[in-house]
Amino acid sequence: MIHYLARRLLGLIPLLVGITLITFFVIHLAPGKPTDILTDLNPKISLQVRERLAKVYGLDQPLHRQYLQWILRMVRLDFGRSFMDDRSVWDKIAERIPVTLWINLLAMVSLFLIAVPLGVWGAIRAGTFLDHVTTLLIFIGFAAPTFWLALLLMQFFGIQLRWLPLSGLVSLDYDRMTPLEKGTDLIRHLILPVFVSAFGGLAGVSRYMRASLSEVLGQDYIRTARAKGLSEHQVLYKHALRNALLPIVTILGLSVPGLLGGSVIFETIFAIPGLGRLFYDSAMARDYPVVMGILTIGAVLTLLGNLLADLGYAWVDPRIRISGEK
Amino acid sequence: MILISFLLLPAVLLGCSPAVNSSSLIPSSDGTPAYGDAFVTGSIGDARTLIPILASDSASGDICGLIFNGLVRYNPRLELEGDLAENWEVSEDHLTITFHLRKNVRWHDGVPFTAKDVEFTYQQLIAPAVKTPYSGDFERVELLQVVDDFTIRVKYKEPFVPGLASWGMGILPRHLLEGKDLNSTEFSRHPVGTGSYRFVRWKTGELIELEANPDYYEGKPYINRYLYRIIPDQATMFLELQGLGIDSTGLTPLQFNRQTETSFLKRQFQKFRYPSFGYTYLGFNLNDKRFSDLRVRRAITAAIDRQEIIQGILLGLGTELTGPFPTESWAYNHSVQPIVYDPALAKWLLAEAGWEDHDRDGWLDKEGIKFEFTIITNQGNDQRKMAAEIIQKRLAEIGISVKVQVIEWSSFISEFIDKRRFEAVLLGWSLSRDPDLYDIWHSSKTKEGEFNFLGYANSEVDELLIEGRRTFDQKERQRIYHRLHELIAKDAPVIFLYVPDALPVVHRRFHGVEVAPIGIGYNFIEWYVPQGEQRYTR
Repeated sequence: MIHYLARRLLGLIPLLVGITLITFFVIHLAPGKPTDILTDLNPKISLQVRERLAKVYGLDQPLHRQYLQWILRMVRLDFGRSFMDDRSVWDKIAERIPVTLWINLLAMVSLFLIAVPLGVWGAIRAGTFLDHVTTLLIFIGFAAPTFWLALLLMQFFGIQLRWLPLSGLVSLDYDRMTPLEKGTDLIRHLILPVFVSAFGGLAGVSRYMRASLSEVLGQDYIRTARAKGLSEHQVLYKHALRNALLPIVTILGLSVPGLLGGSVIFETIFAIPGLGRLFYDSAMARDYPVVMGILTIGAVLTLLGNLLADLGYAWVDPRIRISGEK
Repeated sequence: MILISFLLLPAVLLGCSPAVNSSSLIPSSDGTPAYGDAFVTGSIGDARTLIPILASDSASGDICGLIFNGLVRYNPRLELEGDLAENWEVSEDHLTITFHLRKNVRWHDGVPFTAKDVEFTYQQLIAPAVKTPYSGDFERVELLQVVDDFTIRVKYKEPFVPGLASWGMGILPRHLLEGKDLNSTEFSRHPVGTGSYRFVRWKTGELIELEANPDYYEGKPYINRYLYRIIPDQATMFLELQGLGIDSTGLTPLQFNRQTETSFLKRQFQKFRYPSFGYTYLGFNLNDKRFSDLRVRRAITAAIDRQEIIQGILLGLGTELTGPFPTESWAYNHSVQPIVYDPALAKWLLAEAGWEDHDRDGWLDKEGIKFEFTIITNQGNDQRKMAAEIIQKRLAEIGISVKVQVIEWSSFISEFIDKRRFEAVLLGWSLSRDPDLYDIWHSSKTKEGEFNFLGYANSEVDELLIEGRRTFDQKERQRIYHRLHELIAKDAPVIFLYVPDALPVVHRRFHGVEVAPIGIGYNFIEWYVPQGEQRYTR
């Protein structure tokens, strides 16, 4: 097992280098230079100045050399400095992680808390009129564009009813609030963004749940359970639901790497400073070090996630472990 | 297309509105000035750095404008006046400017401001390793000399009038920055200046907070706090205005004319309207032999109804212009007559130039080639796209086939503008307050990356541009630029489409807001909220 683990970890290194190599070159394929954005079309900024800036940023060097410098820094875990404001890339990313992580986590929890009961409910009442209505509503919601939905909700809860704040993470006078008020303030700000980001996944997960449970309910062992005279409650929750949850757990596992992937759309609409916006802004500004930093972290997380999943399989299924060692 | 106007005015007004419940209607009050309250504004983008000589985006410029002062600034009538410099004199030979600095100015940390700070800022501006985009104007300085603690003498290699305005650049504190790498110093996120507001905090991507500087040399501003919220989405920004989450924002014409006409918003906000300092134009690639023919350019100008564009896109909230200066500038020549909309004239001129519908297919042609071209414009500006579409329709009526292509900004600049791969562009210039247009119109400025990308060349214009830079006498300089305006209008290298109006709103509890040629916000330190109307108190 340890041998297997070591081999897999070593195997990640060339993979990671390959990924960064390809991303680095693809990013530079996009037309435009960081200095274009920095200087806009400002006649006060002369050509000589732009050329000088390109030099200061090292953009005048051949691409392979730029990559080499980048990877040599990476080996020392130095992500470099942003072209936009010269701050350390790592700092820029790190300050955004908590916000994105928390919102995604909350959204994921609420998503499963709503979607699973909804699916169960649908499976029990499969084919009834109510089931059809719910299905229709869920799919209308699924089809509604996030930004549109977000704006409607903001208009309704923020302007019409004035129940919830419109945007941002905290109120302007947050710093002068008591801890209790702070908590309430934060929650009030989070309700809409969390709801909107959970809402998109609702249709998918609840449908999976419904399909999976419907299938299980048709199995022989459920008939057996019923024949034994178990109550419907016991049949459903003790026997059927447990088995039906397996695919849901798989989906849950697969969405873990997505916890750090921010959503540009809702972060922009709700004015939340998350990773998605950082990535988008950096890409638009051709801020290569930041773009590379975020992509590299994403790649590492994905690779580690895969590795963990494989290890999990290997642990439960000796066949994988053995064929891996041959 | 942002020409940085940071030097010139704390561009205080981009914003949104404060969130308070609607029952807090504004009571009538005695209206006496009072200290206190906060001004909350919104910005689409976050600042990048709060070091003025490195700041090139408008958000950074807005904040730097409040924290820092230059030696000079523009007054409301767009004339230069002293800021950190009490006054200045220009030598007989026009080569040397001597600035006499104010003696009662202190940095936010209490250290007195002196000529050494100016010298230090200048050294940073010309240091090759400093990532400043503004070195151009300062590299023309031959020698900068500190005469005494409050006198600075700047000698230029040749007379250079825009040099004076370039000293509107925010001055940096030497005692805090000497020996530090300006590019990466933490100072860029905790600036210390001499300005009317001092830095409090910056939450990246969320908020920048400033507070009134009690020690400001012009007196403490009335408004206690200045909050700059980052709200990246236009629709959210407008919702925040309706929810009173911000006190000020810039409106679109549609918002100005229709969406803000509700009784609630009219009661809460005061709307302002004045011409902005820039214009939108359709420019031709003058190296294209179809467009190098003056008759063709004049014909296309006559074929486009500018009023229709202003009515259709700006809902009337803009003005026509005839030349390369903003209509509010003293350099603008109001006696130049516009080419009026006249499709018959356009057809006649095109026929003169050999463009007629020989093959009867409905489109003009010459030597068997159909007259068709593409207008490119940048993504993210719907007004430009719509203007291009109106032009497309008008030109189709006289038999010219036009395509419109919208391209993402960075590719637009590097692949199309810089490489001259376009037939016509629809773009805008925001201009600085100084009328020097050398970089845009001089025939030498046509290299890749320079700004005369249309390839305009007129030797008389070239001479006037150089003369305009060397003439300190404003009357004389005005005469030069009026002539320049006339010549460019006659050559029609671009079709000047419109000057859009700036359309800011400000919450009504702020008193003392006044519109001048420079806009609003220039007298921000005199704005106040009477005691009973203050909203943010602590």
